[in-house]
Amino acid sequence: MNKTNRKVKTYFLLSIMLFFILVSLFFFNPDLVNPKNYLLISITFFLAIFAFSTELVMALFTSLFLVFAFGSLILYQAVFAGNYELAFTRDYFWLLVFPVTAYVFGRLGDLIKGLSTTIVDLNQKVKTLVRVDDLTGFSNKQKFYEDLYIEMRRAKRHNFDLVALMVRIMYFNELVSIYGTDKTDDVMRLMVENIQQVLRSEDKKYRLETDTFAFILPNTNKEGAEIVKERLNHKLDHITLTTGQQREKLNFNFKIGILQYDKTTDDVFEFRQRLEQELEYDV
Amino acid sequence: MLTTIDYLFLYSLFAIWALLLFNVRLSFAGYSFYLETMAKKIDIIRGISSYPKVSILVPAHNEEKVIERSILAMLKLDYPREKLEIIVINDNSTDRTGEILSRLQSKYPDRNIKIVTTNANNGGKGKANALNIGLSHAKGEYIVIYDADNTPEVMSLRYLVYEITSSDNYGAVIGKFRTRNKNASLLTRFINIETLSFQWMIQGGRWKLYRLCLLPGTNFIVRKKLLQEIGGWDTKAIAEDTELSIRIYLKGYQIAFMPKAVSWEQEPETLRVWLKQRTRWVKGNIYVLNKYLFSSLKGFGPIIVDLIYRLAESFLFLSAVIISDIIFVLGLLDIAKVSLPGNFIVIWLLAYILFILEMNINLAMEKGELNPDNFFIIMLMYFTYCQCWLVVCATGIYSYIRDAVLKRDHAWYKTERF
Repeated sequence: MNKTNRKVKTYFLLSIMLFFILVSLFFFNPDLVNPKNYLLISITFFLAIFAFSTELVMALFTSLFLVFAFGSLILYQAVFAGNYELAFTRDYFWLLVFPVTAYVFGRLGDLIKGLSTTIVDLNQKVKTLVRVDDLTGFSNKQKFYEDLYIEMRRAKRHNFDLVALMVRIMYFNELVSIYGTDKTDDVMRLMVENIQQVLRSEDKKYRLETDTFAFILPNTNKEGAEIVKERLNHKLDHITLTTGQQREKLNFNFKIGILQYDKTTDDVFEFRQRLEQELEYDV
Repeated sequence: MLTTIDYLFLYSLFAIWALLLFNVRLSFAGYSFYLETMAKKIDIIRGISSYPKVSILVPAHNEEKVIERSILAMLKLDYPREKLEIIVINDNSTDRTGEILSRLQSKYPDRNIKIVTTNANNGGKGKANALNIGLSHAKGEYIVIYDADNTPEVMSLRYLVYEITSSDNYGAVIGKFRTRNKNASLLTRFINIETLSFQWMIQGGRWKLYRLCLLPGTNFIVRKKLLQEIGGWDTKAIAEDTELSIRIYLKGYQIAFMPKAVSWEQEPETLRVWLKQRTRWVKGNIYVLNKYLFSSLKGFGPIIVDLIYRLAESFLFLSAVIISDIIFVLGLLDIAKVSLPGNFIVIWLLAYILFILEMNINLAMEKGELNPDNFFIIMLMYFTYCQCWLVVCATGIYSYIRDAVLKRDHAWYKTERF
């Protein structure tokens, strides 16, 4: 990856250098400023764009055709059109410019394409492998479903109680637009602290969506969960944010839903859906 | 007023230009064939439902240095064991080839290895003869040829079988050969680049454009029935592969190219061996031209058109090079000068740049071959390796004519191994 990065930088600088040299050539050799060369430099420019967006071999082929076409033209001029004073710095150098442009830009394009595929692949991998929410340190949705399934099986088999809690911050997007991301993130952290104080360490904590937390409480029944809910309500209601000298009481509304596992289903998605429905009764 | 010298010069200029144009077209065709090939996934060979019986023929004359590894590689080929037989023709070897072969045979008693040892009467007459002997022992529906220095990749036989069974028009299917000892010397590096380019441009490009391919002498599969119908290999041919290709086309079949069937081979490491090998190729090609064009027209078809065309191409190229060289020398000696006023160095520059570009494109199709080292080798190749070919052509033609005049039999020279 590091090596590719270095190569990208090198080819990027080379591509700039290439056009710098071309421009300098025109400055030092004012004879070059004519319609024919304008056409050729435009072709070079479009070749660069094409080479960058296609792949290396195709870019080289394009330059191959250009070299052949231009070579044939000057050959024709030399033989039939009475143009006797062809010279490297005025005419032939284009024969080199085309392949070099094609190679540098083609290579640069290939390298960048390679990097972006790597990034896409890595993102894909991260999505499937990561089980932790970045901001809160709680587990994420994937982990929630995995754990829920295990806990449901365990509860069923050993006839344990199992309860899940869901906390949803209402109008979260509005809050973000009013307070900004930084402040809402701070609030999130405060919520996490408070939640940690209320829940036992063996309870499992998740951040399901940006505005939704869920907790799996093994060996707990509905009554126990109601007590937890009350404490949570109390704690979360009194969150105040200290910024500098100011203590700010933010108006967060949230709903808490409780669902006890009744051992009728094994489907985690169904369970979650029913848990969501419980939020509607928290008025 | 244009002089004769001027006209000759213009002729060679135009001839070279036309050849350059044709090469651009060929290399583009080769590239589109490459894209077609790459679109085929490995699934195609997993989909083979029935495996025909295949006989591998390996002609071996004094091959003690390479034969063991080659046979081991062939035993590793991914193909049902009971459908595969390996026939090694131990052709009058005077070294340990026979000993190594019988050791291998006893080491793998469950594998179908046949050793055919020739004697003073029927052996020692070259590769074509050895292959004919092998053919008479073969039980398979298809014949596969590997030279004694070839180590085919595990899947390569499957690809060959897949391709030849995919169309009744295919009389034979050739695979791709690569250079195993490419790092041995500068010469083998040249050969590596040459063979890759040859296969993508000349084989791949011509296959794509005209459905024409020539057998490379190794790593190919051919229908046994067809071989028997056309009477096997021509023992007089020095390039028995080219000669056989022509008869396959004359019979109305095609030879297809399957680049995914890869076999690694050893290339000459010294200039002396290289010169001998290539001179034999040149002589072999003249033999083919003589047999099919100059002596009598034995049938007609696209391959004959191709032969005439290739001959014309070579003639065009050689005459252009020779004429321009002569003009150059005459100019130096002040005998006659081109009176055209233009600056003609551009054709040379054009040829050189196109050469470098085309070679690099061909290398880009092979993973890991497009690198700075090879780039410089290509730049060098134009002035060295390519010029050696002129020597090879000249000696080949001279030697062929000498043999014909003196009514000598062409001695079959076996490439030395390293």
